[in-house]
Amino acid sequence: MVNETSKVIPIQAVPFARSRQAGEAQTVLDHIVDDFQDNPESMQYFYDLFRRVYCQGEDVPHEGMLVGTTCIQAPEELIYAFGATPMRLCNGSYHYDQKGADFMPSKSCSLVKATLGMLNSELVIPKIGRPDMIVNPTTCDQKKKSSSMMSDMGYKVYDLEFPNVKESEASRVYWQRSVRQFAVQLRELTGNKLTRKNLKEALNKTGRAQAAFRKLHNFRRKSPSLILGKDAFLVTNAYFFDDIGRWTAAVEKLNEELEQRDKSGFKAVQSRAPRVLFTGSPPIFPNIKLPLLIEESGGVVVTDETCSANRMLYDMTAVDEWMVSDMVDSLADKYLKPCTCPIFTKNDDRRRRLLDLVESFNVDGVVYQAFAGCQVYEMEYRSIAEEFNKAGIPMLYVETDYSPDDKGQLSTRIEAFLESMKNRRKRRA
Amino acid sequence: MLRLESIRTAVNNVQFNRFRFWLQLFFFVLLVYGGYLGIELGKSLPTFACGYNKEGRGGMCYLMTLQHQMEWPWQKLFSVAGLTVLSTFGIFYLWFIALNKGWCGFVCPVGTIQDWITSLRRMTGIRYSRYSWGQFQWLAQIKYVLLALMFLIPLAIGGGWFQKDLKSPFCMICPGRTIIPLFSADFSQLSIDFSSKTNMIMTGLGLAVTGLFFIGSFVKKRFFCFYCPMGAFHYLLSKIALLRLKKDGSKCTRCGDCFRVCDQEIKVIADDVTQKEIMTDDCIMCLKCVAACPEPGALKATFAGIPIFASTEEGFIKRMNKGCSDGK
Amino acid sequence: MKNVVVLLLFGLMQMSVQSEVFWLSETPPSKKATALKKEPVASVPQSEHAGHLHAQLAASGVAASGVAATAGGKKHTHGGGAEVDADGEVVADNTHSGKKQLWLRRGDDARAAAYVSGMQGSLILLGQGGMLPEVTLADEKDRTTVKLDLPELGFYNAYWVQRAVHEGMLHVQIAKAEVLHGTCCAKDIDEEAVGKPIVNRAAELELVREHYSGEGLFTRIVSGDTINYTVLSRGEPIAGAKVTMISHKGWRNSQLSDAQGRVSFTLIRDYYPPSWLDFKKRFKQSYLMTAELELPELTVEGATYNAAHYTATLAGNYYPSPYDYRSYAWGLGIALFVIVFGGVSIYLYRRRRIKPYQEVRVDAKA
Repeated sequence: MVNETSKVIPIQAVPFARSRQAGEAQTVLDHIVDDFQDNPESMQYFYDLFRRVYCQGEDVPHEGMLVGTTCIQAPEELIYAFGATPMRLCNGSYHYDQKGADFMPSKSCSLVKATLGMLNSELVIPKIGRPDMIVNPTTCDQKKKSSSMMSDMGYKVYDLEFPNVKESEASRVYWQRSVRQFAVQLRELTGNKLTRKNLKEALNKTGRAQAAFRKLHNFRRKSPSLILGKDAFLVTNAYFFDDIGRWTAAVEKLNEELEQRDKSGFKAVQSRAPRVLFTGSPPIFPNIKLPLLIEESGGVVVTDETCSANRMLYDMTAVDEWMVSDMVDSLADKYLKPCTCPIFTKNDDRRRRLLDLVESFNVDGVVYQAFAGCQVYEMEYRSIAEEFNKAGIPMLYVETDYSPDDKGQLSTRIEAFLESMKNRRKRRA
Repeated sequence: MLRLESIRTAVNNVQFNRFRFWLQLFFFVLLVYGGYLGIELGKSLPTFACGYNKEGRGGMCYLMTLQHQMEWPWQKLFSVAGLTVLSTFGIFYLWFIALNKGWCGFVCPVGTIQDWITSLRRMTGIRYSRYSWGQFQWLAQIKYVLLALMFLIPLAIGGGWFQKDLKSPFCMICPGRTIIPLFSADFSQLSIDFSSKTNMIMTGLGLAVTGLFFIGSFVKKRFFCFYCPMGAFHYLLSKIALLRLKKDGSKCTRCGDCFRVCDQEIKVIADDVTQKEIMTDDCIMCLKCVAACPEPGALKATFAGIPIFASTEEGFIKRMNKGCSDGK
Repeated sequence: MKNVVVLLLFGLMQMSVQSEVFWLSETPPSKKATALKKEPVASVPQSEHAGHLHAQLAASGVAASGVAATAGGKKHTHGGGAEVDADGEVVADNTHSGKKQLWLRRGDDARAAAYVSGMQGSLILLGQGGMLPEVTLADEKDRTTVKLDLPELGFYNAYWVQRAVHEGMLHVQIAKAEVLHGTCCAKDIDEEAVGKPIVNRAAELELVREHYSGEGLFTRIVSGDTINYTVLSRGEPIAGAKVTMISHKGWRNSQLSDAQGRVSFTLIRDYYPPSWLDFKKRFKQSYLMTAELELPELTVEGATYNAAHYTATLAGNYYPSPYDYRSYAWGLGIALFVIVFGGVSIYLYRRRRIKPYQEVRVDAKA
């Protein structure tokens, strides 16, 4: 007699789209798409992209070798020139954050935990495939230490030596040297050579992308806003992994639509909606928690100073002589000199950039997000607060992480902050 | 007003390198060959329109006039005849304040020659040299030393201490003296004059500087301009000049693009965010920095207060894309 | 037989008048001159007609016959050192001024001919537009001299004529000076037109120097230059005249004018200072041209002579040739050396970038 119970029914593997991880992304995406009115039509491209990649776990194709980057200072143009594809590995998933917490100290930055958690998993979403090399600029402490952790996981890691002092001539020369050595490393990795032609083409590619972003950036200056910050964050987050040509084309289409909106006098928000500058630790999909809270409560994030959006695409490279040596050095300068990352010793440039953004975007208030455990952003808060205090600009400091537990508390604070901004405006008017 | 806006946009988005090339060529022909066309712009030009180019010159460099006047015997120099010195200087000053150091960047034939040599180097693919910060700082003093000598030596001749062979000491070492007449097929300045020790040394120095000029401007952009006493002289007089280079520090991201393209490697233009007037003593006002600045309104060139060329995003993108897509 | 005697007398006359050449010089007498050479005036009887030839002179415009410019432009080498005369004294370059002074000298020594004194009479002055008023000779510091005030830019010819009859033979001395009120930077004037040499159609014998094509209004002749002359008699070229060039040191060269009246001389280099340090590149040297013509029996103004002997003189200045002190080889050599040396140095300096940076040094002294 056959024992029925001896027939073991194998546990069906749950397709990714129904996993808890995908559910997290799904919830956020649905919220972004459905809970707001009048989304731009051209945003559909991005919504679909995220749905496919984050919710359904589709493969993300790439050309040539895959070089993963952990910070925006890694020169993408060089990677493109050698025929490889760069992809930013920084991750925003709470699922991976929890995975990373298994082997990371408890007080670590969520972003680093999530990234390491992702790299340590068997299933890496977005499904970019296994990077042939990971470039890790030596920026903040946690990124630096994760370098050896990543190589222990079996990845090939290249430490890109990034200076922590930006004012001195020595650091500039040091960084140029680092970038040149990186180029040599890429040549060894890919077996290709760096020529004038392919480097120019790479600069052209990123140049177009940066130009498209600038246009979008300039459209966001308009008051009342033409587009909500949540969409802008989605656009820039897509840059992490999307094919750069397709991304640029999609953004150019978006710009055209915004042009139309501008001409027709379209308003994405109420005229009285408080305009917010978002700065600090980067919101990465699906962790667009804070910007969404702001916009749910009636505000609009008009601009930002984060490395998952503005800082990644704003600065453009100027080249004097279109020869390989000069182009490489110009790239190096572009990645170092205007960088307002808090890992530097002095933050004069960051302060001036924030003030300039406040002024030119007609910002009512600033929301400063710092991930718990991000020492650099937390320490910089003081000097930024002083600066804004002097300028009479209200700022809300939020220390948070990837977990969704503090949403309720945060939304109360944000609503109060937005209210105070509205009142301020009324009083000034 | 719409027309003004469109003019302004067109100017700010101009293909700057090409525009500058043609303007420089025009001034070169004017100053080196203008004499053949009957053009005479006087003897007080604030640029190297060499006086040794006797037949072709369209005007003469003020430094030659100045040195000739400075070596008048003191009796003559400090008498009523000295008023000529002041009036010539006055004419020079009037020419100068119109374009400020733009004379260096757009008009000077020696500067144009250096830019052509730079283009030659670019075609060969050889990379250029840069000074280190320390080198920059002490080398920048040389032009002041040359300027002082340019005044003191002729005065000493007038006072009887030096012999007349030392006349026009700067003209003797200036590369313009040997090179500009070459364009009129005049090779006579290439010889060493053995007729006296002073002449031998001065002409020898002159030819050595010419050799240095060629090799220097091959590896370094606008090599000679860094040491030019005319530049130092310009800077000392530039207080009321009409063409100015202005910076709005609040818009500056300190990206250093301006420093990257600057021929003279002036760091302060990138680093200083407090000063409004950003022209330094080394600046040749080529306005490449304005063309290479991606931040709108951060850098601009103004004429009598009216902005004539400002940095814009659109202009930057156009220019860099052109460079990306073609072979310039 | 008669011919032989005539020839003999003629020869004697030749010898005796050989050293009796008079010429006009722009060079002032040296201040260091010690003995004043007072030449007795009446050694050669003067004719009343001396200096009054102007009545016979036709206004001669700018003659184009036979004075084509020599090929080979001269470039102005202006400036650079003052001129130095034979005594080593610095003299100012008088080209640009309209005020000139001429002295009458006697003897065919270009450097040290004696200055005549006590001579009377006047000089005929010819300019571009024709004749100008005569200028009278006077004595200044025991030297016979004449001061000219040239109104406009251009060349002027001054003539001093002396006629004498000796034993039936007519001796005519025509001393000519070509004076230039010049400029090296004339922009509004057509230098070619204004700078043409002038011909005196009344002179029985005249030497006309052909101007160089680039000469314009600034004459600078250097040793090594070839100077062409045309010998004219009453404005027409004459063949067979004996022309002699006497250099500063006394070297002479004689030639006969050809059928077109032309002769050509090359100035030799004869400035050899004792040491190189004494070399002055603006050392002003004088050269003297004399032309002699013998004519057989002729009748002039009603008087018949057995023979006539004409002497015409013309002096000039020359300087050391630039080829004596200028070297292109050295110039280009130095430039090339600096280029190569500089290039190699820069190359090696740039190669050292392969080593890691060592610019900061800390040692015991730091």
